[in-house]
Amino acid sequence: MNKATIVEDAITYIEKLQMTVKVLSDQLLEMESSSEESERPRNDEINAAEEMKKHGIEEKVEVTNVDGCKLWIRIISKKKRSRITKFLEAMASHGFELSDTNVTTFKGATLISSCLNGVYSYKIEAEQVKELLQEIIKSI
Amino acid sequence: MQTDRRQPPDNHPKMYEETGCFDPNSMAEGGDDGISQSVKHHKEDDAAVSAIELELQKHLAFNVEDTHTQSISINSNTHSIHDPANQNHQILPPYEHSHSNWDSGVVSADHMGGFDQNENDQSQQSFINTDISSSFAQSQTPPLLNLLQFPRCTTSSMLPPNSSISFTNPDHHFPVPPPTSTDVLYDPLFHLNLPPQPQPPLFRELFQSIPHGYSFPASASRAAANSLFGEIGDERDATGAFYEDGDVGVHLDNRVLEFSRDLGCIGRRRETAGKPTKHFATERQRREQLNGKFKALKDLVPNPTKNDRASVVGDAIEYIKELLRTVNELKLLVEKKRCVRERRKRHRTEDDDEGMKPLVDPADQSYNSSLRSSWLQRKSKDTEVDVRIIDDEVTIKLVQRKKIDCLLFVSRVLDELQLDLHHVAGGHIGDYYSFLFNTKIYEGSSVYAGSIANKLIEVMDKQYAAVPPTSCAY
Repeated sequence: MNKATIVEDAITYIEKLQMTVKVLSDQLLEMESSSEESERPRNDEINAAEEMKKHGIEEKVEVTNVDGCKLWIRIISKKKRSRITKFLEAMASHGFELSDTNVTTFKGATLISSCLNGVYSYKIEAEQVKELLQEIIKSI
Repeated sequence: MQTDRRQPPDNHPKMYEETGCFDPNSMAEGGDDGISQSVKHHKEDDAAVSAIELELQKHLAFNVEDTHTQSISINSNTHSIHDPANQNHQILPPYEHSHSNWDSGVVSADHMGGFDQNENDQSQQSFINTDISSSFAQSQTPPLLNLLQFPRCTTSSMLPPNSSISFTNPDHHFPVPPPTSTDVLYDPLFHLNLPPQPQPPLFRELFQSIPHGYSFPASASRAAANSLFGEIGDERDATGAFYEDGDVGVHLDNRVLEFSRDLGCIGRRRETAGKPTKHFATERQRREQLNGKFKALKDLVPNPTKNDRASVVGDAIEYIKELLRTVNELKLLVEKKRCVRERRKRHRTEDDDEGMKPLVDPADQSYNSSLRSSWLQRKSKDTEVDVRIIDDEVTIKLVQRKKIDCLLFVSRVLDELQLDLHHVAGGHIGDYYSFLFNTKIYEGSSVYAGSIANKLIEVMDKQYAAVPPTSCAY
């Protein structure tokens, strides 16, 4: 085994593996497309609500004023599929700029905590934001 | 006594060599030395033996000038006398037999044929000098007779049987029988099955003495060694210097021998006739080819780091490991999917109501007792993604240059990939956004690590491209 043959063998092997990956992933995709959709998400949501109740977690929206034009928001909501995405989209559509966002999920509940910066250099009242957020959560 | 008769080892090959390369003077000297020594230590009937050996000496000096001469046989004869312990052992049995034939006084092809068979019994190494000497003493027959046998033996013992040089080239002064049985000599040589006992120094000298254009089968296999010149170029940087030597042929041959001994047979063969210019072109080509291969390897790898060879090889190693993990993961997924499908089909055929049941039975898990695990990394210009999958949990680490609100896009992508986002942690550090995503794969989703990473990178890059550098739009 000298350098040239080692490199050659490596090239051949990599190409072979790549081909295998491609074949398998195509096969998987094909199986995926031909399979049926499941009813699972609904089940999950039902479970989530039950769990929250069981553990005494309430849906909540908290908005606190921090350091001038920053607002600290804290949202606890029922875990729903794609809820986080919709929330973020809603935030973006309202022009809110979120920073330091963290999401935690526990027992069917989702906690989103984030820092909301001033939008379009407007100064926003905490109460206003809170109401806004509650509406958003309800809608998503 | 017998041991006393033994020649100093260097004397022996020398004599052999002379028979091959035909240096008359040294041959005579060697013969003289040998004979004198043996004469000293001769046990029995010293006088008679010495007389015989003096005759031999004369023959030696005599036959030196002769190409087809019995002197070579005499040489070999003396060899046998003086060095029973050496390879000449195989000569001895025939010697003995020849002794018995002496009385018949007939030197003929028949004897030669007979001796062939005898020579094949060369396993006997116990032949003693005393036998020779006694045979010498017993018969005053010209030693030429018994010498007839030796040429064969010595020649064959001298050279490896597969070397066609000595056997076929009449120019070489190898032991030959007396004119009467010249033909016979060559025959036994060919069909003798002798254990190859090449003496490396002799061999090399033989190579050198042979006209360069001579093609020998031994070196045919070493033609590959010629191609080694290129291969070895890396390891031995003297390649260039070598070719500038005057006598390239000999040097090449030397290197051929050296290479073939050191490296054995290595890979590719090239047709090189041993011309220096051809080697240059081959060497350059070889280097270019090698560099091209390294480049090809680098292009195959998805995340090339540096351009130096070591990094390329390192990246290739990591990539191969990653590919193997991916293949295993995919195989597992395909298998799982197939199981689920079958189960679903069975449920459907059995009972229509069952179709609404949870599609993953606990029993399914038993089919896949192995834990799914996978890990890979992908990098693009502004984004780094690390995806780790254990069972149904996916952990994604994302690092990207601050430019866009990546959370939204990532979240979208994860939804598309049917990943349930459970945890997000991270923030803005310096110029970068760094995030850690904990997700769970939804049941029935057959996403795999590679697909996740690739999609993420794709989306990130697209967003980067779509967003003008200065704006911070979503």
